[in-house]
This record gives sequence, C-alpha cells and structure tokens, in this order.
Amino acid sequence: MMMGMKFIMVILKYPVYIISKGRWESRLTSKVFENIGVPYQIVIEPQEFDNYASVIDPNKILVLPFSNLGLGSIPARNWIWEYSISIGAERHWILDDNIYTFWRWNRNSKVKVDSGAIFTAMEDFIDRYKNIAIGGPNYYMFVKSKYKDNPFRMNTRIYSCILIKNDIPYRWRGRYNEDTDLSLRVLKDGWCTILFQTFLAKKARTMTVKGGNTEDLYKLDGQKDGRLLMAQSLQRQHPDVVKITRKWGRWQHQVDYRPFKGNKLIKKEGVVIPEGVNNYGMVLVNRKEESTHAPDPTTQPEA
Amino acid sequence: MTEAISWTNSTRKLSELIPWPINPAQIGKDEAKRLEESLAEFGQIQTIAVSPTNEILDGHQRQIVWGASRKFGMGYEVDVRVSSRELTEQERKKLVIYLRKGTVGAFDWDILANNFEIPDLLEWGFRPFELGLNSDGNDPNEEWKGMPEFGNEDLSPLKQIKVSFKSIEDMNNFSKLIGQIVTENTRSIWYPKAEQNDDGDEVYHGNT
Repeated sequence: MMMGMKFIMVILKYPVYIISKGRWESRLTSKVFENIGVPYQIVIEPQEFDNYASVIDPNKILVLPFSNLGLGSIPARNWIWEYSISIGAERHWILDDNIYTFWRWNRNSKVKVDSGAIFTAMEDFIDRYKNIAIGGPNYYMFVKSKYKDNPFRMNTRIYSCILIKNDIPYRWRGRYNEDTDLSLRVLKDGWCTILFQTFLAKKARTMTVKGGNTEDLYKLDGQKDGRLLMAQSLQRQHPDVVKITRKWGRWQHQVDYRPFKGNKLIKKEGVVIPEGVNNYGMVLVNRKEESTHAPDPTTQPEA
Repeated sequence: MTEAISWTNSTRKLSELIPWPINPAQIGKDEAKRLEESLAEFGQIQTIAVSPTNEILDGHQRQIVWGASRKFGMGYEVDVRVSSRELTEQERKKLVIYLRKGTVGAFDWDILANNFEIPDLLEWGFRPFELGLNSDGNDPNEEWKGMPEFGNEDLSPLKQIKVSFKSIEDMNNFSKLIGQIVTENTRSIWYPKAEQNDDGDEVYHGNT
C-alpha cells in the first residue's frame, strides 16, 4: 500500500471465504485481503477461535461445527458451500490461506494490485455466461510475462482461489487434488471453467507455511511418497484423462484437458458486452513517486 | 571416432520396415487423417529414414497411417533413405528429438496473418489457441471487451541455448565476456540484458 493512500473496500456480489487451520500467525490471505480491501470471512475450527480472534476481527471469523476430523479440508469446504447457499448466495469464493499477493498481467509485466477490483471484474466476467461452473486467477508462477497469451484460459483446472456456482450438482470429495477433481467433474458434464491470465495470485510455496492440510498429505503413510499417493488417487477418480508421470525427480499427475475443448461459453440472455476497456477504477502508479498519481490512460471512460 | 553417416536412396514396402520400440513421437487422430490425405494429394514428399537392417529412424507415423489405410496398405512401396551404418541408441534418440524439436523453425506470424486464411490454417493443422482463438472458435479478446486492459506482445526469446562451463574460471570469463553477472545460482540470462518488468516500482491502485 502506498503511503498516504487508503485502500477502498470493494463490494462484491458473492461472499468470500478463506479456509484456514493453524495459520493465525501467518494468515497470508487474510492479510492481503485486509490490505486490498476485499471483504471476507475466515473459516476455522472451534479450538482455534481464541488464537484467530486475537489477530482478526471476530466478526470476520466463521467457526466450523467440527474439528480435527482427519479428512483434510474437504468437510470444511463442503460446509462453506452449504453455508453460502443458506445465506442465499448464488456463488461463493473459497481460498486457501497461503496467498499473499494478487497481480495483473498486462503490457508484458506482472504488476501487483492493491485493489480488490480484480475480484469485481472476475465476478462480472463470469456472470456474463450461463455455464461457467468455476473460475479464478491463475498462479503468478505459471504466467511468463514476455510471452503472448489470451486474457483467460478455458476448460482447465482452477486452483486455490475459486469462485464456485452454488447450484451445480457436485461437492468437494476425496482427500487430495480436490481442485483438479472438481474441475474435471464439471468439465466432464459440459460446464466451462475460466482461468484468468489477466489476474494472478501469488501463493507461498507448498509446505513453507506452517499449518494447513497439505503438510500431512505430502508425508502420507510412513515411508511412502505422498505425491505418488495423491497422483494415484486422482488417477483412480479419472482414469480416462489422468496419467502418472515422473518428472524432475518426483511423481506428478498429468491431466489431458483436450476432451473438454468443445465446452462452449453460453452468454446469458440480455447481457450487453460494452465496447472498450473498463479498468474498474484501477490506476497504474509508481510506488516510488508517492505524490504522483498519474492516471492510467486506459481508465478513461469507454469508447 | 564414430564413423560418419551417409545416406542412399532406395525403396521398401511398408511391411518391411521395423518400428523402434521406444519411439516417443505420437500422432493424433486429426493429424493422422491429414497425413493420409497428404500422400493422396501430394504424393510422398518426405522419404522415410531407415537403418541398413530396415529399422525405422524417421517415419513411424507414415508407416502406421499409410499401412492402415485402405488406399495404400502395408504392401505400399515407399521411398526411403538408408543409412550407411546402424545408429547408436544415443544417436537415434538425438535424431528423433532433432527432427521434431531441435531443428524445427518457427513461423513468421505477420506473414501468416497477412497471406493465409484462418479457416485454412485451422484445417491444415494449427490449433485455435496458436492463432489466438479459443477452442470453440471464439476470440477470447472479443469476449474480454469491457474488462480491464490486457495486451501483451510476443517478446519470447528467438532461441534458448544451454551453455556449460567446466570450471568457475570459465564461468567468470564468460561473465566478463558478455558483461553480465553469472554465478552458480544463475539459471538464465538474456543477451543483450533485458529489462525485468515484473514486480517493479509500479502497482495497480484502486481509485473508485
């Protein structure tokens, strides 16, 4: 955040939930949302309430009705899904608690955003269509800024910052690779997924942040390689599109998303797509030139 | 020293050719269809490469596709280039990658855009995303109208090469030679040095 400038809290259409366990000290996603003005609720297990409440406004804390089930994050994810339906939401955001910055990719540069407007833009874009089941930003590390690519990719896996359509007939399941599994199930039924390239999330490297559920998952079953077990689990769920490979010295799953190329976007009736650019109030400023707030010319009213 | 390889022209029936069990190249359904059509329309432009014992060095897909074709079949006689000696396993591995990756040029996108038709390019083998199109034929940039600015040029490198050093001294000499700092931690560089724009001094700030 630039000195002397205050963030503006964005108003989102859909509720935002951060799933967190044992991370009240780091609480990366919570911190970034505080900084960029995204309203959120952090969803935790009851025994950790005091710890979280000592660092986060208790009004932003949702307490799960269970704890330490030993089933990874799946029960919490499904509880959140039902909870968001119970409050009348048509979609909900669900995020892991290991994202520490959000970015825009434009003009061959990845530039940090200190505005929640990218979430408004993602919601608006997804709401243009009838059949986007899930969407979200790509990871920072997967975009090469010097390369040319499209503003979004269709029909692929959506990672740990996900906007989910609440009335789709699925729920989280299994224990590992749950985001890939959910992406594949919606795609197989003809829904579309949108992975935004324009908007990016930077997450802490796996297992570098204390807490969460992955720590246990990677060290599964005594001496066995957790990565292999995770890949095998996904292959059992989707043997038609998942292969297990050993790359760069470790086991990986490899998913063939080609069968879903034909899932087409269907616009909602009556949606009018405006011409030109809408930067949602985001302006490009130089952090070093604190007093100079040169407006990005592309934020001018649409042509 | 390994004996140099020379090649002679000959012909073989497809049935005489012996596939390499670890050939890593594959062909999709659409590409196979085009390969069959190509033989019917243009004839055999590229010869199949074989060893003196008829092991296929290049041309596995042609054998599979043309051999399975009702029109041609395994009795079809093809032009081949026969190597003067057997290739070592390492040479075969290198050759298969060279022919498909290491020696393949790139398209001039401006020439393609100005002189070729998109429907033709799609029919002849381009994938929609390579032409900036969505898989369903929609243009993602069209769909993106009314959204935040998004525009990137293709600034990807023309070519990337692997440079190896025998010693720290060699690495330091190379560093001096190109005028850039190269250390044991350096994973890649640009020459000439390129500006790194990511995570610079700029930030997108909310203004409404």
